[in-house]
Amino acid sequence: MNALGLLAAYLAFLLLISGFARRRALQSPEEFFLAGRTLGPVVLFFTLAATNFSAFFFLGFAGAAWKSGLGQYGIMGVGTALVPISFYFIGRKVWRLGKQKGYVTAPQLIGGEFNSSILRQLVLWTMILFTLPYLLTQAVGAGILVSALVGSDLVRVAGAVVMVIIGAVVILGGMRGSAWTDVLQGGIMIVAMAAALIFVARGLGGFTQAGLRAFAAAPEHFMRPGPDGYFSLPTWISFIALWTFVNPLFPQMFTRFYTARSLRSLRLTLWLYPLLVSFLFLAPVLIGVWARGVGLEPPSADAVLPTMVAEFAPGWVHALVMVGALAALMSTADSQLLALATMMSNDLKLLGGGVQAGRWFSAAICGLVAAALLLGFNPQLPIFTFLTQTTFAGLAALTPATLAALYRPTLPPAAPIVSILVGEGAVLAMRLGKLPTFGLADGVVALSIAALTLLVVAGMSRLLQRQPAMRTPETAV
Amino acid sequence: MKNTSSKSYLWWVAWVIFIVLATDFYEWGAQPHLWLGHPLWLWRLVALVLVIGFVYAWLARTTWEDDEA
Repeated sequence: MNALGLLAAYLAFLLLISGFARRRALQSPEEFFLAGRTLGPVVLFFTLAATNFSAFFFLGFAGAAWKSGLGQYGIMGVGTALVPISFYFIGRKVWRLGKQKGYVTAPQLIGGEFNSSILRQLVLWTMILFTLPYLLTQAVGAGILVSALVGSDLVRVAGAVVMVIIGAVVILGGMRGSAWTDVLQGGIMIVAMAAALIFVARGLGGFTQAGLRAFAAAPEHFMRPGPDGYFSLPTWISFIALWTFVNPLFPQMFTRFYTARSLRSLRLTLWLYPLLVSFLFLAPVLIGVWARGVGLEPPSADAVLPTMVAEFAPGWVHALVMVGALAALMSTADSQLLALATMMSNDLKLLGGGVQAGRWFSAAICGLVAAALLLGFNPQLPIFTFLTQTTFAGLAALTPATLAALYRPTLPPAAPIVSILVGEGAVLAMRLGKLPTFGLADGVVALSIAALTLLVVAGMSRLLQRQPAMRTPETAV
Repeated sequence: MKNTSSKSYLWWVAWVIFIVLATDFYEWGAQPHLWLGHPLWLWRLVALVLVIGFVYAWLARTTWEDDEA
């Protein structure tokens, strides 16, 4: 089967699966937005993994290792393996509150627990602000991938077409369609990455030989702090810690906690996740560093993995890897689209908030992104570049407010509101170079500042509440 | 039913220990020992990720209350 045939078969399967999900998805809002809260352990595991592992995992990761060395496995692999602790402390609570109170979105839960509509809107717009531009860049990435796969420059048209297919998956099948297609896409990702590793290693004379060649050519890639000094101690520790607090705050991840049939489903993902990461994150890092051993000069860092596969693996493996990268991208993008539509339907309460509202919002968002691409919109505009580069830090600043909603909802709502505002202000200040980070990841600094603000405001509020009581005669006696 | 919620702190203890174990700064800048063509510290990190999976599985069994699962 040639590349175009493989691509067509993959896209056709996606639509077919969504079509199967359609009958159940349209039964009720809870079915459409949350698959009726009935996802079993296998589907839940695949949908969490496929949603989390975006195109960066396939393309950006190998490019980052090519630039900075094997240390990338430490900050990304170990960091991602630690993430499931948040499934325990955040996911479990979110699932239970969702069952008890009927929550569907993150803003609904955080605002609802503090009984504050201002907080709900603040969380909503923060999440939209950091998710929408990300979706646009995914569409551009899809265009680049499809263009490379079919061998012609069709970035904007291909990006728009993929966006329309993503929209169709969501409109047809809702969360159930998205989750079922994630099983297919997760499977493709795993098989494609395994095939890439095996065949590239074989093409380089074997696994050991591939490593030795790279070590001879670029020994600094086998050490930390790496050739460009990227892995300083603060960077290393802060990135490993960061993902635990950021990943559950992606709206597309947060929503998935509601979808579990039982906590037993969620419990399984806790340990399967690190097991998958152990191998899956190693493969692109190795291939990226092996590229040093053969003197590869790719057109861009993101092209390292496809170029290595094209050079050292059979043609069908290259096609499979490109479709795998597209699957990684689409599985994240459809979840982002559904999360945005879910929040707009349920938190803005426009168009009635039901199934049809979700479908209309999905159509409107993907139509807007596709039209923007076709009309020549430049996703490299400074404001969009700023937002996509600050997504992790921007969402990390929401973590203290989220934890407070789950564990201390009796705090005054001013505490999480000010915490988010100050945290996002810190993100902006860091990007503008007005706030030093001391080599730490922006997200960890934003998270710390937001947490400290929450504690200070909560403490001050308590103090102010107590003071009038202290002046009463009864208290004095 | 087991009273397991009081053991929740074990998750954070494990999390901090894993980060400490992953931070092998004493080896930075040194010539790496290779095994199968790749540095030993990389294999240690791979093993650590596998251990994280097993420890999380154990923690999930011991701290996840019976009536929740």
